[in-house]
Amino acid sequence: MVIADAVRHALEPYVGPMVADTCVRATALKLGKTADELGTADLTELDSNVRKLLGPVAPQAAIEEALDTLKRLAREGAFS
Amino acid sequence: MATGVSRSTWWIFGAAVAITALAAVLVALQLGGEAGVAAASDIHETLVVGLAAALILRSAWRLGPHTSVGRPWLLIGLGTLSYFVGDAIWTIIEVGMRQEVPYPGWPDVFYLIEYPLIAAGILSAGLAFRGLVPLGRPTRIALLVGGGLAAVVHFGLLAPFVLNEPGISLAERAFSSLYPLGDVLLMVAPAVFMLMVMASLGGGKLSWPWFAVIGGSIVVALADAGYSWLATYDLYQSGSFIDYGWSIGHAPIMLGALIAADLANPARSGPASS
Repeated sequence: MVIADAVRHALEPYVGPMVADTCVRATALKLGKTADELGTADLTELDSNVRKLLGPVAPQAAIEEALDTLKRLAREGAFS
Repeated sequence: MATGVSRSTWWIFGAAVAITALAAVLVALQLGGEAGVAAASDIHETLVVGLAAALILRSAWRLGPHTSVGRPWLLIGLGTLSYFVGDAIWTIIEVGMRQEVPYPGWPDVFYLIEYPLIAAGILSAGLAFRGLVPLGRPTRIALLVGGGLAAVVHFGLLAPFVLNEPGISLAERAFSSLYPLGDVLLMVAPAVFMLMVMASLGGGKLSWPWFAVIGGSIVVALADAGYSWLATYDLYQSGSFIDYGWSIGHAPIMLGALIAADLANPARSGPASS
């Protein structure tokens, strides 16, 4: 599984596909990469960007839930 | 995927709709004559709006009243509470004391306080989305709709029928102007702004509470506009179909707050990712 898809999949239920994609692309752009080039090393940056973008509109528990899922998948080695 | 909305949320919303439906049946059957109709109409509305105020404020508390997620619900809850106080005063005068409620009177003051609080709540929620969606277009469209409707209200209702009506007092004129103007500028325009923000978002659970609030605000605004027009011509009386607009309008606003609180509980929202 590509990490960008996992992030999109985690965020989509809350903010819809368009904003979920924007969130991934914004992080990739900040790191000088394309969305598909994002890897587990970029998880910290993704975590920080997701918190920054969703923090003002989403309940903290919902953000933690989405990010915990990503971290769990990373620990399980689910990302290519 | 679980919807994230708890069963109790739907039960509570259903109860609010059922109370309104029961009142409509009692009014249609004219049980208890004029006094019975007034009691059914006033008490059901006070109950539904009071329930809405309590539950919206509870949601605000659960989400954190000082956070950008909870603050909009605190403002909306306080607005609904103000409306409830207006309703309670109205019910005490009409049902408890069996007197005619003066227009304008104290209930109107509390009804009007709801406008800026609801507007502030909706707008602060919409502005919180600025990091996710551009707000320029929603702002322009809301200003256009609000300004256009305010012009229609002024030239189509206030100027010909209210402001130049010789038989009504200055206070009546002021309140009969504030209701429809408050409706279009502080209820409909913020609702349109939020609708455009949610449309830009393109879906997701975070938009659900606000679609409910948008629908409820528009119903409340329509009921207010109708009341203002009827009250100006002394045509309003408790039991009018307008009464259901206020309870039916506040019920979805309450539903929105309950859904927002449900989304803060990931156990109910289901897994974010599989």
